[in-house]
Amino acid sequence: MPITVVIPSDLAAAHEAERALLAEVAGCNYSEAATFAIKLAVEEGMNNAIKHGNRFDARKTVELVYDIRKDRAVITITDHGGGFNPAAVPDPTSDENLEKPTGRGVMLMRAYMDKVAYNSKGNQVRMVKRNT
Amino acid sequence: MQSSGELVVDVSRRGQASVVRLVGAVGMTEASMLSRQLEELVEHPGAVVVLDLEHLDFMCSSGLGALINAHAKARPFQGQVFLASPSPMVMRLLETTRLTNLFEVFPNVDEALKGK
Repeated sequence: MPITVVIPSDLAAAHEAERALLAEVAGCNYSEAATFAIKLAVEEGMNNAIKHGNRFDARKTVELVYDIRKDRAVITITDHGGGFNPAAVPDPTSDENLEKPTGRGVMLMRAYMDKVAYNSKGNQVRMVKRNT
Repeated sequence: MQSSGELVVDVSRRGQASVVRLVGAVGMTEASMLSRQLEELVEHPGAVVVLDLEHLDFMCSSGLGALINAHAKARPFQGQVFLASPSPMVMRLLETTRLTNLFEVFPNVDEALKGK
């Protein structure tokens, strides 16, 4: 049964929501590598939603929906910002971007999760990780 | 020693270098504190900072940003930031982001201090 959590645009609130999600992951005996991947992807997704999506607007919320099963985790994060085009994000691993302190979140979610898909507006990301 | 959320930062002196031991996790709520601490350490002429990552279990992109920021702030002071003994998980993160091209990574703190 998926769990839905709605939080304000606040990093501490996101951290608390993430802790509850990770407790579900721990309860399903995910591997160390899969647990790291899920933690990283949720951290990046929530951070992007609060900072870049809602721009810390206290009137806007972030919705975290997760369905953690023994074989795979499905996580969806939705913000109330204007959305973005993930294909237009510069490659943070290129030489010219290597020294930029930001811009790695989307790439890391894609590198660590098995599936990452955005809705057409770009304000919702759905991620899947298999427990391998 | 300072702590923020799930991170403990312990700074010690080894000769002219600062050794910064990170214990725990650098997530979105810890990264800004770490960034400020590292800035204070690198903004001196010739500053050498070795980050001991042996007991760092997790780092997100904001944490990586704190390391990159320290690297950039050290440069005008002719300083350097080295990384030592990352866990396999953190090493994979550094490799995935190609930050191994930006930072020298040593197997332990002693090797990093010799390599400076």
